[in-house]
Amino acid sequence: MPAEDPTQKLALAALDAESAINALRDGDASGRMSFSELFAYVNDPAFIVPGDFDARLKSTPQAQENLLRLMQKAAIISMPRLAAAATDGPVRREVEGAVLTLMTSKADADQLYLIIELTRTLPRLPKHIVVLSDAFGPRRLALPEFSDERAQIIIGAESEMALALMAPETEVFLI
Amino acid sequence: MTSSDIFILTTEGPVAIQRIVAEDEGLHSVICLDGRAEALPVSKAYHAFVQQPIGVIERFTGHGSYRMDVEGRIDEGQSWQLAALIAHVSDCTGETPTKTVFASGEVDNALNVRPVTKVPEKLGTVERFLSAREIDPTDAVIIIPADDTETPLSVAGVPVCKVKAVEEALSLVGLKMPSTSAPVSDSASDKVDKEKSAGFFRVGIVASIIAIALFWFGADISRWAALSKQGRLLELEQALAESDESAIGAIRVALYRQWLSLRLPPEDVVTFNGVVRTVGRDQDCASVDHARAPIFQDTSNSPKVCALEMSAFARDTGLSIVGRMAYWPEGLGSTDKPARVMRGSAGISERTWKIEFRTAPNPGTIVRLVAVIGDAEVRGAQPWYAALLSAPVDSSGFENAARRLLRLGYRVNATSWTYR
Repeated sequence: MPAEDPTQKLALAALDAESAINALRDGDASGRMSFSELFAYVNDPAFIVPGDFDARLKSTPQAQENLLRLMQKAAIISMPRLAAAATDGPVRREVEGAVLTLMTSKADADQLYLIIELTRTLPRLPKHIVVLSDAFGPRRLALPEFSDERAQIIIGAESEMALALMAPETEVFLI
Repeated sequence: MTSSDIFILTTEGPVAIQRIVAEDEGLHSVICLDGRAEALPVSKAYHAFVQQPIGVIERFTGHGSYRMDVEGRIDEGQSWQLAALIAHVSDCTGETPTKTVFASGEVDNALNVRPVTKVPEKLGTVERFLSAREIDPTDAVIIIPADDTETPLSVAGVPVCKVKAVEEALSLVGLKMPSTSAPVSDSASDKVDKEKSAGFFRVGIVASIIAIALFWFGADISRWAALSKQGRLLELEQALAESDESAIGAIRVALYRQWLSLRLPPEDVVTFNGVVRTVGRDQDCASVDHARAPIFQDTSNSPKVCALEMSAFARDTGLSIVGRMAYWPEGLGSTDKPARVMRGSAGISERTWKIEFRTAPNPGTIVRLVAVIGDAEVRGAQPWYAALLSAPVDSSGFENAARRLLRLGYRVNATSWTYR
């Protein structure tokens, strides 16, 4: 559905209204997180994440559930929590359709290569990677253009994205 | 390499190459800005420049993945290649250039230095840079490609040297091209062989024999296979034509064409379908919902046609489809070029083309859809579309254009919608 689709806008407005009514009824109108904001976070590449996004999300369990559902619906590839703990070697997550690898740069040990390889033809190429982490909240990163079914990006080894990707209990979505 | 005595000439001023580090094989080579975790947009081109069979760096270093850090942004073009190659030679041999190097030039696969644009603008930035960096002009050299344009003999006391080959550039700064440490890639055709063999069991033995022969024919075949895999068909066609001029080259070309013929998609692999969107004769296309009818249904008694959607699907999802849809309001080829040409949606084995008619089509209007199908998405200039979109399917013009693609391992499918 196009971002400016009027039906979509109407539906989001209705969901926002319902959520506002629920919040008022529950006496929790402050710090509310609208459904349309969550929808934009997941679907709109141009959405700028507000500074208080994490805090508001953390304090709203319903919003967390909605975000997870939206993410599962929008994701081209979902990489669930890993069964085993990460090892000292390169971090690797492999699911049907994609392989994610983190490799330390030899040029700078403080930097990592995040590589995503697509192993089957997808309906479209992912634009973003989102990691859902209990420690940091959701972390989103724009992916570079895929070339030969592969995208590679450099991230800081201590960045929240890297730490979240290295943590086995996080969920990864390619959107 | 950590010295900053090799500079890439850019229109914004010389940019120092700060370091080159070999990364783990399997990583794509990147150019990063000043040690930061930021790969510059030219990284993709740098990766191609490094990795065999297209790239030249791996050929003499034996390694296919590097990170190069530069002091300033390089956003586009190929003119960074000469300075990058000099830096790689210095890094590989452990020899430092005898002079500070400012270089601009594109390097081809045969290690010729090819002309680049905006050389005067680049030279114009050097003088200010020299004084700001306190670089001794007598201990520096500017290296640019040899071409017909007039350039000064020196800039701020730094001699400007024109070169035709990498070898000349290296000798100017006391470096030598290392001997090739790695064999020229044996694998482009083998890789292709590994990736997609499922549909070719019936010719497996023949293909294997040809693959072995391709292996022994070396670099040209590898380069052609890489061009084919990247969908750069016009470049492939030109490269084959060049090689075809010599006797040995002609044998190689014939063998390679034989290989391509084995990889041709089946004739009936593409399916077309689509819909015509219409409204009543007195209605406005923008004001009411459209009725939809299958595209290949007779439209002779149809109401007003508002739009057309056509799709092409490959039944083998390992194949790529590209194509164009051309709108001929007065009939096929009735004017020099179609009124509109559509490129279609993004996709791999399935694409959709849409046209909304600004004015209702008249009887005789034709919309021609041409789908080109093969191993990779076709990139770059595609001159064959002129004939494929304008000529009748049974004409020699269409057949010649389709044959060009067939000889490159790609099959053409076309269909037309005619408003009667």
